[in-house]
Amino acid sequence: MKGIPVLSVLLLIPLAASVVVLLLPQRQERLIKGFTIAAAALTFGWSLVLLSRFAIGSAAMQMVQSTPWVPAIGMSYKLGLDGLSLPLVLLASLLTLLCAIYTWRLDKQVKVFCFLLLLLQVGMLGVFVALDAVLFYVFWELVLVPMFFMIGIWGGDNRRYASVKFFIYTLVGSVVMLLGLLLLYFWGPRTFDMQAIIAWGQAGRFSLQQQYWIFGALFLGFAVKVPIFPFHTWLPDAHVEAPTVGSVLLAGVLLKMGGYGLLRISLVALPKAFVAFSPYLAVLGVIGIVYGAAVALTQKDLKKMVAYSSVSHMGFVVLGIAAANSAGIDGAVAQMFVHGIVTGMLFFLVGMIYERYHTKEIARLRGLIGTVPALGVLFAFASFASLGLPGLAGFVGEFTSLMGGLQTFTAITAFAVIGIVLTAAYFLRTMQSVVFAPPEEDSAVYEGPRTMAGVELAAVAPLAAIALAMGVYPLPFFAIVDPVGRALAALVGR
Amino acid sequence: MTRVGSALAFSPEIVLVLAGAGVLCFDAIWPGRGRVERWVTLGAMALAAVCTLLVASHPELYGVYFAGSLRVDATTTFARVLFMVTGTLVVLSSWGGDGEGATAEYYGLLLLSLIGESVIVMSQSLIMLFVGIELLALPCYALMAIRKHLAGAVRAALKYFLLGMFASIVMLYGVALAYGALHTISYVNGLFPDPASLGTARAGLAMVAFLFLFVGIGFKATAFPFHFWSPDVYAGGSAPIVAYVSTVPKVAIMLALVRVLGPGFAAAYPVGRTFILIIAVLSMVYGNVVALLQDDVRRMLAYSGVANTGYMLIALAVGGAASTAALTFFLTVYAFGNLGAFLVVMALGEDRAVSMGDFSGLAGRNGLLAAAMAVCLFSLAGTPPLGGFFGKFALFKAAVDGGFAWLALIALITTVVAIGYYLGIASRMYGSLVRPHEGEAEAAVGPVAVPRPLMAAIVTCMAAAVVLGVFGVTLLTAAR
Repeated sequence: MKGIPVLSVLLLIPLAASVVVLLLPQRQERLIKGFTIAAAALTFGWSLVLLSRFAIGSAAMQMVQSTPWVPAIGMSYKLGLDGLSLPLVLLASLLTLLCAIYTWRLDKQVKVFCFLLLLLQVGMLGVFVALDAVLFYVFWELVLVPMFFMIGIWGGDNRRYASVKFFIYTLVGSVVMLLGLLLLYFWGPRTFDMQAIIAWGQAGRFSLQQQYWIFGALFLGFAVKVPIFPFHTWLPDAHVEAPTVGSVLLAGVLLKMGGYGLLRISLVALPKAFVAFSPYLAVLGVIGIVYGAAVALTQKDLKKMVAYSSVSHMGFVVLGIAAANSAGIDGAVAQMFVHGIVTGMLFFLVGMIYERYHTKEIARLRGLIGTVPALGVLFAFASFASLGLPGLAGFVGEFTSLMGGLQTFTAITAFAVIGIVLTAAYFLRTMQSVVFAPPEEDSAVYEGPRTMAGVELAAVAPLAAIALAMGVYPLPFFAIVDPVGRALAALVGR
Repeated sequence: MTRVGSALAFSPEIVLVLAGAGVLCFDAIWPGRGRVERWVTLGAMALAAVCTLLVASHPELYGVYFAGSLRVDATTTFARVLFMVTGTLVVLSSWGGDGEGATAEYYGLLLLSLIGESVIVMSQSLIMLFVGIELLALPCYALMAIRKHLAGAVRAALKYFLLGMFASIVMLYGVALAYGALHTISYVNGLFPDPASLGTARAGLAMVAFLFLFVGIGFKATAFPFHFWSPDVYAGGSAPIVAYVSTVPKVAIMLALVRVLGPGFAAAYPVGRTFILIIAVLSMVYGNVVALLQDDVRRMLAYSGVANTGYMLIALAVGGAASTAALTFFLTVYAFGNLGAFLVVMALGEDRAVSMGDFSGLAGRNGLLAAAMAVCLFSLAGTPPLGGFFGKFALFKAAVDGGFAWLALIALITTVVAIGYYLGIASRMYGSLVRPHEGEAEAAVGPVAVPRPLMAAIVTCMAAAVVLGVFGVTLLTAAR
C-alpha cells in the first residue's frame, strides 16, 4: 500500500459517500440508509487499517502526507497521525458507524440526515488528522454546520433555541481561535504547518508575552468546545434538544476536539504559557468535575443528567491535561476515548428509553429491568462504567487522570474526590430508580416487546464490549498513547 | 509601435465600441425587444475576452501607447478579463427582463461603460483617467434609470448623477492642482515624485492636489465619508445595474489608484499615507457597524461595500508590490462575492426593497439560491477555505509585513463585526429549517422561482468564490 495517501482516503470515503447520498433518490430511504451504513463501515474498516499500519511505541507523526496548497503564505494540505490522534480517529469512525446503524430507525428527512452525518464525519476525522492550521480550522468549522442542523431539524421542542445557542457559542469560540492561529502564523515561522509552528514554539521563539496572548485566544476556542467550566452552558441545552445520534456524536467526538486542540497546539507550541496557566486549568477542571456532578445530582431529566455528567467527566480530561505529566496526558486521552464510548452508549440508551416511554423524567421511569430486561442491564452496565467502577472503562480514564493530577497538583486534585462521590451518588440513585424500582401509579407505561431491536443491540453492544475490554486490559491502548504522553510531558519538564 | 500593433493591443476595446455603437444603431433602424442585441452583446464580450487573451499571449504588445496615455500590461489583461466575465454575468442576470429592462439601450450602454472601465485601468495620465471615469459614469447614470416606471429608479439615478458629477468636479479640480504642483499629469512612473525633488511649497500643493483627487475617487469607490450616496442609490436603482455598479467600477478605480500613486507613494508622503489610513479605518469601522443595523439588504450590502473599500485602501496605505498583489486578488474575490450577493437579492425582489425577513426560510424555498448566498456572504466575510479568506489574509499579511500590525488588527476586529450581519442573513435562510414547533406559522411563503440565466450567473459567482479559495491562489501564482 505504499504510495497511497492513507489519511486522505480516510477523509475521502465519507466525503464521496456524502455526495453520493445527495444524488440518491429521496424516496429510496432504505437504500440511502443502507448506503450510509456501508460507507461508515468502510471508513471504520479503513481506520482499522490505519491502526494495523500504525507503528506502536513511536511518538512520531506517522503516515504524513503534504501537498503545497498556497505556498506563497506557507499553507499546505498536510495530514498526519500519532498516538494522540489515532484513538480519537478510531472513536470518531466507530461512533459514526454505530450512529449510521441507529439511523435505520429514522423516518424524517432521511436523505438530508445521512448527508449531514457523513459530512460531520469528514469534519471530525479531519480535525484529528490535520497538520496545517488553516486546514484544522476548516475542519473545525465543518463540524459545526452539520451539528447545527442535526439539532435544529431533528431536535426536541426547544430545538431552535438550543441549536442557535450551540452555534453562537462555538462560532464565537472558533473565531477567537482563528485569531490565535493567525497570531501563531504572524509571530511564528510564517507558515501554517503545525509541525513547523510547534518546532518554533519549542525552540522558545515565541516571547512570553506572545505566548500568553496566543494561549488565551486558542484557549477560548478550545474551552467552549470541551466544555470547560464556565463555558459549558450551551452543552445541556444542546444535548437535551439534540436527536439521539446528535447527542452521541456531540458527547462522543465533538467535545474531544477541545481537549485534542489543547494537547496538539497549546501545550506543545506554547509551553511557557501552558505551564503558567496550568494551575488555573487544573482548578477549572476540578470545578468542572465537582460542579458537573453536583448539578447532575439535581437533574430530573435523564438526558440532562447524562449531559451534566459529561461536564463532570470532561473535567478529568482538563485536569489530566493541566497536570501535563505522562500519567496525566495518558489519562486525559484515555478519558476522552472512554467518555466517548461510555457516554455515547448512555445517550443511545437514553434515546431507546425515550422511544419506549416518551418521557425522560427520572421520577416517572421505573422498573426497566422488568419491562425490557436487556435495556435495563445495559443501562446499569453503562452507569457502572461511567461512574468509574474498577474493571470497566470509566475507571481507567479517571484513575489515570487523577494519578497525573496528584503528581502535579496534589491539593487541587484532592477536591476532585468530592466529584467522584457525587458521581457515584447520582448514577446509583438513577439506576436504582430507573432500572430496579418497582413501577408506581404515576410511572410511564410501556407495553411493547420485552426485547431490544436488532438495530439497537448492534448500536450499543460494541460499545459495551469495548467498555469492558478497556476496563480489564487497557494496556494496548496505553501502548499507543504513552509514547506521545511521555514526549509531551518531557516538553514541559514534567 | 506600429499602428497595426496599437490596433491589436486595443482590439478588445475596439470590439466593444463597434458592438456598443452597432447595437444602438441597429435598434434605431430596426426597433426590437433586445433579443438580437443581447446575443450581440454576449458575443462581443466573448470576442473581447478572446482578443484580450491573444494580446496577453504576445507580450511584445505590452507597453505604453498614444504618447504615454494608455498602458497595456498584465494588470490591464487581468482587468479586461474580469470586466468581461462580470459583464457577461450582468447580461445573464437581466436576460429574462420584461422588455423595459432589456432594451437595446441597455446593452449598448453596458458595453460603453465596460470600455470606460478598461480606459480607467489603462490610463496613464489624469485627463485620460478622467475621460475613462466619465465614460464609465455617463452610461451608468442612464442605466440606473432604465426601468422608467420605477419611481425609485429615477430618483436613484438622479442622485447618482448629481453626486457623481460633483465628485467629478472635485476630482477635476484636483487634476488642475496636480498640474500646477507637479507640472505634469502623466503618471507613467507614478504621479508623485520624490518630495525632495519638488521643494516644500510644491510638495505641499501636491498634497492638496492628492486630497482633491482622492476625495473625487473616494466618491466613486464609496469610501467613508464619501459613500453617502450609495445606500440610497443601491436601494432604489435598477437591480442588475446596482449589482454591476457596486462591483465593477470599484475594481477599476482601485486598480487606477494603484497606478496613480505608484508603489512608493505611501512611504514618501506621510501626510498622504495618514489620510489614506484614516479613511481606511473609518470605512472599515463605519461600514461594518452601520451594516449591522440595516434591515434593507441592499443598504446592508452598500455599507458592506464601504467596509470593503476600507480593506482595499489598506493595500494603498501600506504600499509596495506585495500589497498590490494582495489587492488584485482581493478585488477578484470581492467582485464575485458582491456581485453574487446582489444578484441573489435581485432574484428575491427585483422591483422592491428586500429586507432581512425576505431571507427567512430561503433554504427550504430555494436551496441552491440560499447556498449561493451563504457562500458569497461567507466569502465576503473571509471564511476559509473560500476566496475571501485568502483575499483578506493576503491584505492583512501585507499590512503586518509593512509594519502596520495595528491596522491588520482593526481590520480583523471589524471583520468579526461583519460576520455578525452576514450571519444574520445566513441564520434567517437556514434558521427556519429550525422551526420552533411543529405546525407553527411560518413567515416565509412558497418556493422562489429564479429565471435560469440569472441562476446561472449566481451559481457562477458561488463557484468562483469556492474555486478562488481552493485553487485561486495557486492559479494566480501559476499565472504570474
